[in-house]
Amino acid sequence: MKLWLGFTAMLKKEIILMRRYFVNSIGGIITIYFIFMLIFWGYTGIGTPGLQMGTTVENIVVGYVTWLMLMMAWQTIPYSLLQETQEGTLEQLCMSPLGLTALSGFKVVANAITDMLIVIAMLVLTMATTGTSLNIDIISLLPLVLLALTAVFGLGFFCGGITLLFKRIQSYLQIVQFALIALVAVDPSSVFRWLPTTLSSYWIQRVMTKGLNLSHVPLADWLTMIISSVFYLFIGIAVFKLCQAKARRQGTLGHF
Amino acid sequence: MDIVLKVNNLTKTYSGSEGKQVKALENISFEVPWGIIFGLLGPNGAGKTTTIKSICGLVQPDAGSIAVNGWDVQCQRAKALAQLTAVLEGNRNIYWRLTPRENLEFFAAIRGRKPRRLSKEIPELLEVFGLTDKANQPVRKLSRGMQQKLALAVTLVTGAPILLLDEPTLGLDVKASYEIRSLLRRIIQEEQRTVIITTHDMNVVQDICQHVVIINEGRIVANDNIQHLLDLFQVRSYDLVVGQLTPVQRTGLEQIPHLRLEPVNSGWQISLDMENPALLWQALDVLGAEQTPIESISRKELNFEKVFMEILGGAKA
Repeated sequence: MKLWLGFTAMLKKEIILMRRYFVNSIGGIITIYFIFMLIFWGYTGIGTPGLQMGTTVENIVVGYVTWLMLMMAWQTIPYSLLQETQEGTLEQLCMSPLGLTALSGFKVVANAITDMLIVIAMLVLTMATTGTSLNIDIISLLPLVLLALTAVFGLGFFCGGITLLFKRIQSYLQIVQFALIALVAVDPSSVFRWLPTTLSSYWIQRVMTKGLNLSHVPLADWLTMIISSVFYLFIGIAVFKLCQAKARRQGTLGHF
Repeated sequence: MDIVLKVNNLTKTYSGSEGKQVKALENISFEVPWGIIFGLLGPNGAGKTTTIKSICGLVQPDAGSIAVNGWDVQCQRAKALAQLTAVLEGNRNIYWRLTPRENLEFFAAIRGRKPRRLSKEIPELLEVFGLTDKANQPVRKLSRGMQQKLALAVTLVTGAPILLLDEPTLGLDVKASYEIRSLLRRIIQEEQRTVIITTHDMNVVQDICQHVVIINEGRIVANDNIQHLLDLFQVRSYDLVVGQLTPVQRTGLEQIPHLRLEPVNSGWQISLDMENPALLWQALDVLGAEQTPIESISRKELNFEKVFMEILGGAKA
């Protein structure tokens, strides 16, 4: 019951802030959209007659939207911890009997729900702009998206833990955004399939661009995705807890 | 008397720059009884904040233990933390982008308070804290005094029986500081809670605290009832304003230990530390020899700031 109250409180807060700063959210969507358009124009060539609107453009759309979703999910914990530290509210969260780990988990899930609206808006916008047609099979996409998010939540916890210890690491955090591009784009046929989100992203792309469904995903790939996602989440949470303990020992929890 | 907080042999050393070890706390032990306003005092860098943060579970001590209503902060963290709440940075422990009502709802929820009870409690709290009119305005638009009142209200809405307040009146004007003090008294009288405050404002301490612990350089230098401390220092000193003194009288008085003689408008002021009450009689004898008129005798009024400074001075000596 207490956990549920904590989660709904966090979700309500995120929804309130999203509504209150709606113009800011719209500005964010426009910025993200323009970045996509730059990539799209860069690929197709501005004003080039006879654009080849084939599979590759569809892959760009899906790849970009997948990266956007994962990036937003990943950055929730480290950036919100930085913000909470600056605002002086981190200590209040640490003092909650629910604990900072649980509250950060609630926050990341609550944010993923509200961010999904932005992701869907971006998907619709990019599809409309590029004239691509994608297979939006919710039943097939949902478990793949959840698995991809689970792994990236782990990455978020990991970076969140480092943030708790070192605080001023924004420039290093930005590197992770680019690393996520590699994770989404890398070929999962080799050992890279065990990287966080790589195989899930690959199957999201296949479902959306090739019209495949869950039955096409081999059992070995399901196992790989489940094991790696749970593993990265577990490792992320473990590092987060260790960093919290170290920050307590150093007396730097909440300091900026 | 019920003890709500027991701090036992708390020790903490920080690693400073270049590997230098800085001892923040050294075997700090004290107990806080239920239902009082307890002052945790000391100069900057004395170890107050480390003590408060250790109690809140934000700093892990090297040694020692802290029990909150019987729950150990390190071993039974969740249960211990459920017993207390804190305002550690004045007006910064609340969300400035949310309204007062939303802040109260959020912090109550993450402490496990059910919304049904809060629907009545939150409007009451807003009313008591004079925030009803501002209940739906973002906190960033409120004055600092109102923000600090809200931070205090947030501690109450959590339902925790022990409140730790680090500098609750810092940066407030006289009126806002007075209002906060009144609210703290009300919390003790009507809400049946225990408040632990740290502050540099000794007027606040003298006004609202019943018991104080004074920390200096990581050690406790005083742990006593505030009235007792005041009395202890109060009885030592008397001021006598007398008429003109002859040179012989002045010489006689100056020979009395712990006596200070200063000219005032119409005569002399004699300040006498009453380490030995016989000294007062000795001074009166000198005055009586010439039948010097005594215009006034007053017990020297000590405020807590002076007591505090004397304790710190004594600790250093």
